[in-house]
Amino acid sequence: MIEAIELTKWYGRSTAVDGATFTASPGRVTGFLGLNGSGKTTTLRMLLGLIRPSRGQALIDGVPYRKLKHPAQRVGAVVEQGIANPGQTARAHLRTHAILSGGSARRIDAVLETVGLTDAATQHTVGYSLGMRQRLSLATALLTEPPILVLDEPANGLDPEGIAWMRGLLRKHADNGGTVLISSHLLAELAQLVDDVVVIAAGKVVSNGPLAEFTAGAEPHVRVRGRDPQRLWAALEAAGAGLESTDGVAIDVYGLAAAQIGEVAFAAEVPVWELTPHVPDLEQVFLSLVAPASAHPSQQEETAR
Amino acid sequence: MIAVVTSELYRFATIRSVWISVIVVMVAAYAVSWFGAPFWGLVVGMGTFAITANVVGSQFAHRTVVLTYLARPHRLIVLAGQIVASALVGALVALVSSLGITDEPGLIVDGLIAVPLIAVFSAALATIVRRPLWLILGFVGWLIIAEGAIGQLDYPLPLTTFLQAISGEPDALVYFGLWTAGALALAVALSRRDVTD
Repeated sequence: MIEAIELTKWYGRSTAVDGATFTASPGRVTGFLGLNGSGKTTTLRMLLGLIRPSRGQALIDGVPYRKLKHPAQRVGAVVEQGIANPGQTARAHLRTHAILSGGSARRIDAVLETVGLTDAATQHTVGYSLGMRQRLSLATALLTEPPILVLDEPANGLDPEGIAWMRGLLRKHADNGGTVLISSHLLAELAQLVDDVVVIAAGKVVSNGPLAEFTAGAEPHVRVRGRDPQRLWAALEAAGAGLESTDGVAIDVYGLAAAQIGEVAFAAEVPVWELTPHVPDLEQVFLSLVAPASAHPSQQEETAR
Repeated sequence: MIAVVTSELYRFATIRSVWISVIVVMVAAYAVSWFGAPFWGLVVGMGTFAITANVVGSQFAHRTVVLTYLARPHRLIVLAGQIVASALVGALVALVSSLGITDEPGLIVDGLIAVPLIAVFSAALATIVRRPLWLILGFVGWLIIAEGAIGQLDYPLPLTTFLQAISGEPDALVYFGLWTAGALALAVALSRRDVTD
């Protein structure tokens, strides 16, 4: 279980994270979403003891990270892209981490195989692509078989096949009772993976809950186009629908199902050219949430640093 | 702390540029030792400083320190482990490279104290500066301008006292020990700094 309680970080007069409160529970994948500079990375680093909170608490299994008995055996983390010394081979990098974390060196071959780096294990990482380095980061995080994973943009640099592989890996981890907290800007990918969503904007958590509730709050609509838009508009308005149009031709209809709209158009004798149901996806809901809160978020965090 | 020391030593042994540097410094110091202990001390001292600054500082430059802090969140233990590992490597470099010095055994003993001490000094500075290139260039600049051109190697400044220490001046060893203790104290005070990009 990961808990952020009123987590706050000030840099001088700037506030990078402002009272962030959320949890990531075992058996679930929690997506941590925010625009660049919204405070995601700062929050994750506070959870992992890399940045000291100005206020509030970051707890892993009920205690601060630095008070965990064997932290690397409880939490696997990817916090930056492809961390490795370029003069070390992947195998030496993992062995260094195994010594540090108290992990078993016998796991090294297994994790290298899991992330698909077996053939490159004896190569110096200076020759690795970004995707390979990112796979090595994941291997490092998985080395000690930790029940909790904290991943900051782990899909960066991965190809579509790698992203699909990672999605399966994380889903399996959560299904086996593990806790996954993942931040990513690839919202379409996250939508296929996460159970819960935490949205942060300008340092504040603006939404927090199950994915189903997150998207259920946004109203679906049907886009309709017909030969006579004005007549169609009037007929739909008379039927009690909520209407929007940006170009005067396509009408976004709220409150009526596609079949009902078809009936109304038929009764009004307007031939229908298009009738497309739109279910709000994660990206649309996310953008609607963060837009008002994020006037100049990246500027704010840059200034903070 | 044993795990940190072991991992640091493993890092020394498995980073290509580091073990090549260790060999180069040992061979170079061994070679110049035939011209006298002060030459040996200068090469082995500067070489050890640069190697340690590179190993410890590059953990910040390449961000691997993040993994170290995730595995071992108590930063003073990490610092202590880095210090011990650096001192051990410094002692090894001093011992192996001093094999050519046969007529001044007392200087070897001084060197075996002073060289690990300069490794500790360097490791402490590397955790403060966090950028190995800046540290090495800054130290070279300091040596040439401040201690050499201005100080004429007459004042009890870090490198001056180090060179005097390996030449057998006990007071200088004390002064250099104090410089090292000062650097360590600052490194301890700054050890809890946030790890940001």
